[in-house]
Amino acid sequence: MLSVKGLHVYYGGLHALKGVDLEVKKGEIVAIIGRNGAGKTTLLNALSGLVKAQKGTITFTSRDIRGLKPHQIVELGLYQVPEGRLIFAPLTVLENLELGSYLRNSPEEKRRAREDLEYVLELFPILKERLHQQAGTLSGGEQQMLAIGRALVGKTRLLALDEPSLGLAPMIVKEIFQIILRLREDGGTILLVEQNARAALSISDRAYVMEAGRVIMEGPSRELLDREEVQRAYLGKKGR
Amino acid sequence: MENNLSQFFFSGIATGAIYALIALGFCIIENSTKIVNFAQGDFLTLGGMFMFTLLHALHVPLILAVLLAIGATALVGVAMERFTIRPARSKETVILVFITIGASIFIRGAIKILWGKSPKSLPYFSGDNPVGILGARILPQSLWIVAVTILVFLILNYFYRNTRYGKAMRAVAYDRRAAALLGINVEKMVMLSFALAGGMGAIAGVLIIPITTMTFDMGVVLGLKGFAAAVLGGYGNVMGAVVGGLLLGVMESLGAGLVSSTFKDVIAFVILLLVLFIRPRGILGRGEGERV
Ligand SMILES: Nc1ncnc2c1ncn2[C@@H]1O[C@H](COP(=O)(O)OP(=O)(O)O)[C@@H](O)[C@H]1O
Ligand SMILES: [Mg+2]
Repeated sequence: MLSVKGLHVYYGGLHALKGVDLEVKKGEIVAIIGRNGAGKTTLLNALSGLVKAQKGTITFTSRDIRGLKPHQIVELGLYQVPEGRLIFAPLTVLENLELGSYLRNSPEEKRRAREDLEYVLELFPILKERLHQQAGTLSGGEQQMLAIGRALVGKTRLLALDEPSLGLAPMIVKEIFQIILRLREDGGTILLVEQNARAALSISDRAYVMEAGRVIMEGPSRELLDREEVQRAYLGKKGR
Repeated sequence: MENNLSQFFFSGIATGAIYALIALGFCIIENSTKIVNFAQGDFLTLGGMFMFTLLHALHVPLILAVLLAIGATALVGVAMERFTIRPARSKETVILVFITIGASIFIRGAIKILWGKSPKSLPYFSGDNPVGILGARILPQSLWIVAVTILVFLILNYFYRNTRYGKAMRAVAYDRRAAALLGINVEKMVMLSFALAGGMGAIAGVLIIPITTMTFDMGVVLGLKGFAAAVLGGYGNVMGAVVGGLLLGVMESLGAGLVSSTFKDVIAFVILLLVLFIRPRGILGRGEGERV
């Protein structure tokens, strides 16, 4: 579904991505883990067209999307839930969700968007109680749920999540990760960026470990969990 | 005296409605880009000038001329966005605001060259037989002004709250990145908002010019008054723009009538400064919260 080859991004003189390769297949949960500053967000933003990738190819649903405008990429079905959630605080929860289906404008698509809205409200019942509340009044966890829900009512084929657990209590993180698993069961494809390596590795099928703009390890998540260097560097276990 | 009071009041309402329309133009741009567009007053002059040419040179019927003047000014708004704002959109807000000041000077210069410096006038929409209301004698044009302002306010309010594009514009104003990530074409929304602001300026122009005279630089003072009205009501707030405009118009008119007309133009700016000092959020502003 998504295939990235030799991707380079520069911020002025800063070489933030140094030739990244990445593959996501339909129905997978793929995790990208790595420390703060490794280039995870830059990678997602390059996929979404928010930052310019100077070199490399990005193929999504067999189309070359590098250089497309962000809204054109979303049109193809790549929805990103950005770091820090970026919900529209002054708008109501319902208005936020409606904006999620902004691109579904034909009567047929509107009908499907309504079904997806029902689905999202079933995933996150708390949002149903808060539909007419200003989104800014939600708690951090609820805002994250809203941000995910907002991306799920679109023409979503691939959902890219940037650190959904950031700043949330462990209970809520667990809840959100359960939902991510449920999304995959229901046929979704997910690219999950996380600093919380343990949680991300335990729910994903495959994973990439990034460091200083490069992918330094990749493989099935189960295997990565068992690797000593991963445990030492990312899971806080002391090496032997 | 009593008659005078109601006279001052009603003429204040009519001017205030014009300030409200200009303030709404500021509001539209604020609500999609967070920049103060100082060319808003010049959109008004431009709308009037287009109307002048359509009526007197091309002999287009009044209603059609109004619509065409609005359309043409909207196009100028689009061109302004396309050629001055968009190329600089990655710059800081302050720079963008300076660009609008530049655009304002440019538009005024163009008007001077194309239409000259001599004052011009436009006809009333429906004659000049004053109507009596509560002891005041009011021009039908003033009634047009108030009616159109109310209509524009209602439409704009509906647009922002209930339409797909209106909501998308609010989303863009709040966070462009988040809006783009939902598939909203941010550039298109910004362009549309400049078209709306241009059209809004033209509406104000064709309404007010019949009761004043039109000069190439009338947009400067009117623009600043509309800005003062917008700040007074709560910058960026649609309802606030209307309340601020009417309040400013009435205060100005009463101040000029009861104290001295020397102070008329000063009043707006004193009020502007007072609001900025005492309550920068304006009357209806809610700080970080909902603007629309
Ligand atoms: N907009 C930007 N301008 C300049 N440098 C940036 C920008 N965004 C990120 N960086 C830099 O790029 C590197 C990668 O950052 P980022 O992609 O945010 O990492 P991560 O998401 O893995 O924490 C860091 O060194 C960061 O300082
Ligand atoms: Mg990041």
